[in-house]
Amino acid sequence: MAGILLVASIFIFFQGLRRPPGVLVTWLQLRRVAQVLIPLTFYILAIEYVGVYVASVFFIAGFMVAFGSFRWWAVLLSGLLIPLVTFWVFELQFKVPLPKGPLEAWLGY
Amino acid sequence: MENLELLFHGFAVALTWHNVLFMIIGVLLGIVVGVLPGLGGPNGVAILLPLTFGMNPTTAIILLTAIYWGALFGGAITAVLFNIPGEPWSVATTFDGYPMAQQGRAGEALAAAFTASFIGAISGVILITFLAPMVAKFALRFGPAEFFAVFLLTFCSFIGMGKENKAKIVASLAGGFVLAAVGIDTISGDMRMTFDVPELMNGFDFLVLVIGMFGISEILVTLEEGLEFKGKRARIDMAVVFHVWRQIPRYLKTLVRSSITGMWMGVTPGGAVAASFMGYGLAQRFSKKRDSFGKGNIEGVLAPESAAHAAGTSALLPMLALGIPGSATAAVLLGGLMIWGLQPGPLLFVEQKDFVWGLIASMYLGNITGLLVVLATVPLFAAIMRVPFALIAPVILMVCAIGAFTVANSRFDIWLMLVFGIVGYVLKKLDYPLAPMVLALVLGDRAEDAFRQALIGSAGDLSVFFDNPLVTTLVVLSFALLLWGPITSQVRRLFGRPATVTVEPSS
Repeated sequence: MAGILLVASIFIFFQGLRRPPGVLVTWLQLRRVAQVLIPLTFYILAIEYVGVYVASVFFIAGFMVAFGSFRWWAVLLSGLLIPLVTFWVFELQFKVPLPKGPLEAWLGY
Repeated sequence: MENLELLFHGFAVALTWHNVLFMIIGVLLGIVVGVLPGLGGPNGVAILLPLTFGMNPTTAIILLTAIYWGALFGGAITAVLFNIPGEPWSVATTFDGYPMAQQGRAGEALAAAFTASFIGAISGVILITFLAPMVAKFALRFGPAEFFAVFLLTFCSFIGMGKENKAKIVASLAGGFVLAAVGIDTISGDMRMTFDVPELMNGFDFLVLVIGMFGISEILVTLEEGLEFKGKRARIDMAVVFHVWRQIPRYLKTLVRSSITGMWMGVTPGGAVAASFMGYGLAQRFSKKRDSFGKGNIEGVLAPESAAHAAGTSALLPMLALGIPGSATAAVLLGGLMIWGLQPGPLLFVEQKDFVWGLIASMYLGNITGLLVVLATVPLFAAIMRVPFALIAPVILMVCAIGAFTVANSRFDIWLMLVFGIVGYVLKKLDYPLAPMVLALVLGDRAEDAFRQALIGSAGDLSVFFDNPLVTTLVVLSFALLLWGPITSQVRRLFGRPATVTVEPSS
C-alpha cells in the first residue's frame, strides 16, 4: 500500500538533488504579491465572522481604494452592487447557501 | 452506421431550447473566463461545478463543456489584442497575432484565430465521434490490471511527452499522489495521513486544489508585474471574416497538419499548450515564407490555434472512453461526472447512451455557437480588459473563495484554497507544471485501487501485469513513452542533426 508513496518520495528526493540554483523573486515582486495575499487572508478570516457578502463589500471597496484611482461613488457602487448581485445569483437563483453573518440574519435570511 | 444514428439521437437531446440556452450562457461565461487573467478553463469549470450538482447531468455537462469551448476561444482575444495570453495555450498565438494587430490587422487575426480554433475543435470532435465508441468497446474487456496499465500509460506519457523539465513533472505527479492518499482509504477503510485532524478525513478535494493552484496563484503571478493593459482596438465585421475565410483553402495543409498534431497531443496527454507550440513550429518549418513568422504571418495564428483546440477537444476522448482525462480541464469534468453519479469509462457508452451522445452532439453545437458568439462579441470582451485590475482582482478572488466554499460547504476549504494558492504560486515560480498534480490527485485513488485490486486478484504477484498480451503491451508502451524524450534526443545527437528550435512556454 505504501509502495506508490515510497516511489513518490524517492522521486521527490531525486528531484531535490537535481534542482538548479537561481534567484526566484525580486523583493518588489514579493511586496506586490504580499499586497494581495495579506488582504486576502483577512478577507477569508472575515468570512468566518461576518459572512461572505459583508466581507466582500469591504474587500472590493478596500482593494479599489488602495490600488486604483476611482471616484468615491464608483467605489461605493461597485462595492455594494457586486455582493448584492452575488447574493441574488447564489442565494436566490441557485439556492446555494454561502457563509452568512449577523447582518443577513438580521435581515431575515 | 450505428454511431451516426446515435449521434442524431444525441442532437435531439442537445437541441432542446433549455440546453441551447445553457450552451450560450456557458460559452459567454467561458469567454469571460478565458479573457480574464487568473481565471482559466480548469478553475472556471471548477468554480461552477458545485452549482450544477442539482441539474440534470446532460444539461450540466453541456454548460460546463461550453465554458471549456468559450475559454479556448477567449484566450485568443487577449493574445491578439493585448499580447497577453489569457490562457497558456494561446502563448504561441501572440507570436504572430499581436504583430498583426500592431499592423492594424487585428480583426483579420481574430477571425483567423477563431476559424482555426473552430476547425481544430471540430476535427477533435469528429475523432471522438468515431474513435471513442471503439475505444470504449475495446476497454470493456479491461480488468483491474489493464486499467492500472492504462493509468500508468497516462502518467508515463505525461512525463515523456511533456515539454517541461521531466524531473519536475515527476515531482508534480508525486505531490498529487501524496495529496490523493490523504483521507479514508477506500479499500481497507484505514485513515491515512490525517494526523487526527477531522477536516482531513475526507481527503483533499481536487476542485479546491484547482481553484487555489490555477486561480489564486495565477492572480499572484499576474499581479507581480503590476498590471497595465494597453490594448489594440479591433472591429470585426462580416467583410473581414469572409476575407479571411477566402484565404483559408490556401492554408489547408497547415490546418490539417496542426489539427492532426493537436489530436495526437490531446489523446496522449501532451496537452493543448505543447500542441500549440508544436503546431506553430511545424507550420514555420514547412512554410515557404519562414522569415515572415513572428512578424504577422496569418499562418502563425492559424497553426497554434487549430492545434490547441484539436488537443483541447481530443483530451475529452480518453476521459469519456476510459475515464482518464487528457488535460486539467478534462480532469475537472471527470470529477464532475463522478459527482453526478456517472462512472466515467467504457461502461458509460453502454449504460448512459443519451448522456454520452448528447454530450458529443453538444460538442458540435457548442463549437458552432462558440464561433458565432465570439465573432459577435469581441468588442464587448475587449472592453472587459479595460476595466481596471483593482476592480477585477478582488472580484475574481471573491468568486474563487465562493467556488471553494461551495464544493463541500466547508469554510476549511477556503483556507485550503489560500494555502494551495500560495503553494501553486511558489511551484509556478519554480517552473513546476501544475496540471500533472491535478491529474494525479484525480486519478491517484483510482489508479491505486486498480493496482491493489489487481494484486489482490493475483495474491500479490506482480506478474499479473504481464499476464496477457494486452496488459503487457500497455505496460511496455508506458515505459517506452516514459523514455521517449531521452531516447529521441540521443538519437538526434547520434545522427548529428541540428537541434530543432524549441520555443519554451513562458507562462
